[in-house]
Amino acid sequence: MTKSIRYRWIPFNMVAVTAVAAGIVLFGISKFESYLIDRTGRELQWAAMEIAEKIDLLLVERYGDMKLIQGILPEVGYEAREKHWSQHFKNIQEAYPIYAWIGFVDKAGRVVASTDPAAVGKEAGSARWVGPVDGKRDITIQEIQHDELVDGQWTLSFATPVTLHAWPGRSGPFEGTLVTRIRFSELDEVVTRSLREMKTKMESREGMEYQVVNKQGQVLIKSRHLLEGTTNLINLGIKSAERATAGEAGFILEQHAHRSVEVLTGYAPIPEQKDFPKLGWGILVQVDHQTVLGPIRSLIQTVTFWGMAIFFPLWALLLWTMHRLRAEWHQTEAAQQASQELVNQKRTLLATVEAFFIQLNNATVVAEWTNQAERTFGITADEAIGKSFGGLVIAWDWHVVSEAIAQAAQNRVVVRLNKVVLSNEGERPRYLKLTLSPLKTNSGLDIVLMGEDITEYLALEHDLSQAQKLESLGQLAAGVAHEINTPTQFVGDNLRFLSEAFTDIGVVLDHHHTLLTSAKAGSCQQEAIERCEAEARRVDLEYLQEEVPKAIAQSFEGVERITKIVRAMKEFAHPGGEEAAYEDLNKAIQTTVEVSRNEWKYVAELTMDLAPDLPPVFCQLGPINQVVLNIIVNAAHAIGDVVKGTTQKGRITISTRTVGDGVEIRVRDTGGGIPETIRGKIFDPFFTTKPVGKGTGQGLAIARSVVVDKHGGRIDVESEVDQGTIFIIHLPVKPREAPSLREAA
Amino acid sequence: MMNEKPSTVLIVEDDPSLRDSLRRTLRKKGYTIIEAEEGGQGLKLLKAHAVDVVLIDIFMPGKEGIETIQQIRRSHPQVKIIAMSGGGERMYIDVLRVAKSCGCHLTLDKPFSEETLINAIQAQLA
Repeated sequence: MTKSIRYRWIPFNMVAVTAVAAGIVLFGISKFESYLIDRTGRELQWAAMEIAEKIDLLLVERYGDMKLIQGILPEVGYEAREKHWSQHFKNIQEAYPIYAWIGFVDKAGRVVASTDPAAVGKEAGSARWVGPVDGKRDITIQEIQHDELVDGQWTLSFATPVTLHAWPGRSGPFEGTLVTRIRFSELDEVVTRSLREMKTKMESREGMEYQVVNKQGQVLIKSRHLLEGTTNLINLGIKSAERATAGEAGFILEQHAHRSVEVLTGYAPIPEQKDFPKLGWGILVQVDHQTVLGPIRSLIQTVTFWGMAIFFPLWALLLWTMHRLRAEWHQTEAAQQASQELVNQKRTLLATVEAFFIQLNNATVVAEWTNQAERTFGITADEAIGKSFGGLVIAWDWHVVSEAIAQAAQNRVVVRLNKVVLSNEGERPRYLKLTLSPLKTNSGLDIVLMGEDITEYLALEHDLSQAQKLESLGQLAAGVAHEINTPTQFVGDNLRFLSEAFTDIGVVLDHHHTLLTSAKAGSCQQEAIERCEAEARRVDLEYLQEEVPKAIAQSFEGVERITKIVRAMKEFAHPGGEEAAYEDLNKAIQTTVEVSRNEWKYVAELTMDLAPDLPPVFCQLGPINQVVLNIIVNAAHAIGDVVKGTTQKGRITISTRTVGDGVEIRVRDTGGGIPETIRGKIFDPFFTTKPVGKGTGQGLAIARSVVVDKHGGRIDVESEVDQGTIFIIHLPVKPREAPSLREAA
Repeated sequence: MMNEKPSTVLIVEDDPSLRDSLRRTLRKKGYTIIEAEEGGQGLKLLKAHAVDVVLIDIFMPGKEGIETIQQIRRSHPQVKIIAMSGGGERMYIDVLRVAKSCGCHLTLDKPFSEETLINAIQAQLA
């Protein structure tokens, strides 16, 4: 029995493989993500550093401008400062349009000279321009400023104290403050320009933001919106701002200050310069984390899409295939089981039936050897299978069996051997009926040999046949007894009569002798004559003369009858051995009619119409006699049932004639006929219409067996209810060529 | 023994030889004999003659012995009946036993001796 394998783990396996694949993909993606962040962060850092450098450069230039202007002022002179300085400032502004305003504020806080003539004389605010600057020697930078001097524009101011008759770095009385103011928008311009340049260098990054923060963390410049409010990034806890203002450069993933998204920020400080006030500004350049992951996202999407597009159909295909395979496997398994079952059933069947089966591959090698075969031949299947059949030790007539096998194989016909004697050592001989059938197989032509042990059957058949024989013999004995007893009776009586008559006649003769003697002597005595006549009367001589010849004749006839019946009986019972020979059927019929006379003579006239030229027929006469007897007795009984209680007699007609290669015996009676309903059963063994215990029901069955099986003839019945029945026996004249072999296509 | 009143015996037997021999035997003993070939004829003769004993064969054509016996029993109950048969059985029936059960007084199984026959008849006449 094949064990069922279900592969239950396959779906789990698939899930596991999928999970591992997904893990690998995720790991790869995360690696790629950190690589991307690292790369982008670095780029952003470089951008921040570059911007820082540019701003630094710009500031350093402005710082230099300041020194330049400061150095030129004494040259210009202090007289008519509002006129000359203003002109000087104007010239510078024209040369460097970056400047929003250049002016000189005196120590009272009033504008003395200015690029804008309208501003001269206006109060600029000493708190802003004088206090912080006075006493300082260096330039101060005012980070964010906007007032009416610059039309409210946001500016970055540089302020440096101016002392009369003194050079920078040399002490003198504080005269006022030189102020240069540059537009923040100019700084913004620098940042944006450098970013634009970088953007072309970097992969195009949409949504890039930047901030310039001062030391305190205050946003000075911001992409898109300039100085919107006074956001302090350090206060907001933005690490990049902290680090940039602390002088570090780098990149970091952090929360956006305003939007709740994660951003990647590159940061750098404005580098510190010698002779330049330390600003401590920081530059932050950032992009949304999402944006960084853009390529990865698209990659994931692509991978996911193709994964879905390829993997799921594949998975589906795999599952479907598995399903199909499983279904097919189940089918195969079922088919296998079914075929196994068939084989088992066949085995069981073959083991159950009484017959044995032997299969011979190519009509020689034993391929199948059933239990019954083991029992019949005393050879086990192991000993037989694979061996040459002819090589097995089987005590039967191999000549006949081999010839039958050859015949079945060569002519491809079913060959039957009706009686094969198997004489196993130490056992009574057994009789086998063999049927050899050719069987076409892939490898050639096999012979299937089916055999049946018919010993018991033959014994039974024999017993029944014997029983029937006894039955008919008993019946005959009764009839024959009657036939013999009657003549015996009257022959005996007649002899007694004759004996007594002879005595009487002797007495009369004695008297006659006396009379004759006296007559010879010449003395014819009247007394003697009278005594003679008296004696003749006494013995009724006349009567005796009349009866004695009759009695003698009848006795002869009686003895003749006895002789005839005894001879017929002998001929019927022992028609000359068991062997078949050419026999005169007409004579046999006459004999049978004779012995059965008592059965029919009271109910029927029997006529015989026997063909004088009937050829001798090759047959076993004993069984044929019995068949004819059975049919005559049946006919007599059938007629007897009809004529019972009347003085009528029926008629039995027996005729013979030659028909083709055979002869036909017809026995016709005028009995009641056989009802249609039982006509088909009359040849069945044990079928009888006679009372229980009377008749074995074998008569016609044996008749059929004798005529058909033993002689290859035919027995038919024609019957009409109330008209009578005709039994027709047809026997071939010549014996069959091979009496024990019969072929069928 | 034979006196002025000889007994009359009707023999019903189909076989002429047997009939003749029976007649000869009985005549010898002084009986008056009437013969019939079969049952019907026998019944007619019974009406015409005063019969003492009927000696009848059971198997005959026409009316069977047994049937005739039954009719004689009905029509002439005083007549003694002796049945004869050659065989014990026919068609599986013990006919003599049947005959006896039908009212026949005695049965004789063929072949029987003269003494047996005469004794049987004498026994019936006594």
